[in-house]
Amino acid sequence: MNSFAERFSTTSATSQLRKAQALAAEEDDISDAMWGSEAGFGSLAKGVPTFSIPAVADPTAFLRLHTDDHADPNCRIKIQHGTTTLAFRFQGGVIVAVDSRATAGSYVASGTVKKVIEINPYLLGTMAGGAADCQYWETYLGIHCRLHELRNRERISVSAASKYLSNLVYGYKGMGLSMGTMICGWDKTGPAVFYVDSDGTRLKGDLFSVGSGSTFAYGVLDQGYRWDLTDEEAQELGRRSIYAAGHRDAFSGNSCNLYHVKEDGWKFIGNYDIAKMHYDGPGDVPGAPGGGYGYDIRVEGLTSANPPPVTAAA
Amino acid sequence: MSDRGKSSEKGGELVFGETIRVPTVRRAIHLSITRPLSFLILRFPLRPIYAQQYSFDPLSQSLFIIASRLSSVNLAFARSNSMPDMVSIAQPQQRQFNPYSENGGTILAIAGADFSVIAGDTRQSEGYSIQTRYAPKVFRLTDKAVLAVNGFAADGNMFVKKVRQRLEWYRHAHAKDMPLRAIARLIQTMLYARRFFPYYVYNILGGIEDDGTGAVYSFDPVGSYEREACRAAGAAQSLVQPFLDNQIYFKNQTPAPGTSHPVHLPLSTVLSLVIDSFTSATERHIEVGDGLEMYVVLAKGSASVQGLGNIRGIQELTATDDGERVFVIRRELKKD
Repeated sequence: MNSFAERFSTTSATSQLRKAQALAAEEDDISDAMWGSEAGFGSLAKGVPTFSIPAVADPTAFLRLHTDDHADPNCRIKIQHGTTTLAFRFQGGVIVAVDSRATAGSYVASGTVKKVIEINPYLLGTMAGGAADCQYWETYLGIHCRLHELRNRERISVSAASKYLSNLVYGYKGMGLSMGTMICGWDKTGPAVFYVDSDGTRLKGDLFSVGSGSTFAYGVLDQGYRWDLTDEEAQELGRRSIYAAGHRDAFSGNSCNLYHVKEDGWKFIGNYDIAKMHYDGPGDVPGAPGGGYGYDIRVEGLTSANPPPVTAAA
Repeated sequence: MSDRGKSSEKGGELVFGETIRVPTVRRAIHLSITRPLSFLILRFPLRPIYAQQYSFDPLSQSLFIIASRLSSVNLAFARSNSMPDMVSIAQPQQRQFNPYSENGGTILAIAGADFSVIAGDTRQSEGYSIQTRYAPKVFRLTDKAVLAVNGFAADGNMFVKKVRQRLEWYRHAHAKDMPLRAIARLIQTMLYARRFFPYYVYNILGGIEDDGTGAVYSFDPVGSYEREACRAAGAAQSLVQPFLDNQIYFKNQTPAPGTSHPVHLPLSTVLSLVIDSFTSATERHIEVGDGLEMYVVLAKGSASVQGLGNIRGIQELTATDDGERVFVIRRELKKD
């Protein structure tokens, strides 16, 4: 009887609640969390991010029309492209090395991009493809890695983290996301590197290089790679490979950022100017042979362009 | 084959005069029509419709409907032979949805040790015509944050409006202004929320960090961002940025023997560089000119305030007594 009365009452607690719920349902664009702080991720209040979609028949074609500068260099919204990134696993952990150039068409949009994304103290992600896609989703991955730690009282494995990211971007397949990333870290199984891209590919491996300069980096990397590299040798190999890519690929360059992941987490090794590496080398760092990487010093006085000094002929 | 067929939410054949239900999602509904068809009328119900669009593809005989908050669509259509005289209007119309425009102008921001300068010209143009000589592109967000927007002015103004709304909500929730690095992250998530329908806006955020240092954050239209010491964006970006690289970062400059380049420049030098950047960009770029607005944000107790007193026409915009101070300096640029 009481419940029957309550059903038609306009003043009871349940009807108030019902009214509030009806109101809340109408305001689906604005969640309560947006009023306060959600660590900047106000749009994640519902657990998953929400995206505005243009009201056209084919939103993907719309996005491509306005943003894809591969197909049409005149399109208005330039998304930064061009990269060399590499990561490899060896006896002493994982080496992650990247360049720092961002290009929009032929314009060097930035020479100081941080292409290594510090997901948490044990996980690194690299950035190739859309800068925003990598930054956003790898930050988002960081949130969920932390939630995994809180729920399971142990750190997430590199495998699980990379699969989380892979599944996440697979959900947006064909919608125009562009990312080629290496998730690197150290977990119970030791050092680990996973390649994840926006097509949904996820590969476990020892050695990867991604981006327009990857072929050049692979050339140096494959030639110098061994499992039993020392830490210094491995760091030098990473640096030298990025230098090679910066030297031969116009879309890569400016400087090299080097990270080393060990059992106690990642460590930033340094930033090296690529032009400086060409002429003077990376400076006084362990593993560096001394002198520039450029071959000028090796051909000094031996080529027709730079002939040997004329010796007084007999 | 009959005129009658089945239709469902997921797609199917259409029936004359039939009402189909479109799920209230922002997705396309795809229906195929078995009878040859070249003429189509869609009737939408009277209830509020926020966004709708449809297109009909005669080749595949399929109909796309996009509906938002729309519960049902009443479809009426006729076979091609029923309206032989209306072939001209019977052709399906292909429309291109182009919501973007480019309004020119340039913005620029430079960070100092305990200050930040954020500047922009005030010309707004479309193609070769000037729409207005005074359209601000630089906006005070809080006493320690100033945002410059460049690209498509309508998107830019809307974006600034939405950022300000979120900052106001933050103030109501936390009784303080949002820190600069948090505003930067907020802008990233707000831009990325439109990843599939981007704001055509290049943002530069300048201001004072919690540790009292001057900071500049630059963004791409979909939200990738980076903290830098200086950044130019917009039409004359490629004219101004190399100049700044040379004068701020001392790129390709070798210090005299026994000396070194300064790490941070004084405010007076920075302001001169900004004015020179814009006068030069005005000379060589048609979309830059008319007016210059320079916002100066000073950290708590910054000594740079002394130099500001004798600047012509300087105006203080500080709203709170938190310590940071915001000023604006306006200058004329050439109007041809």
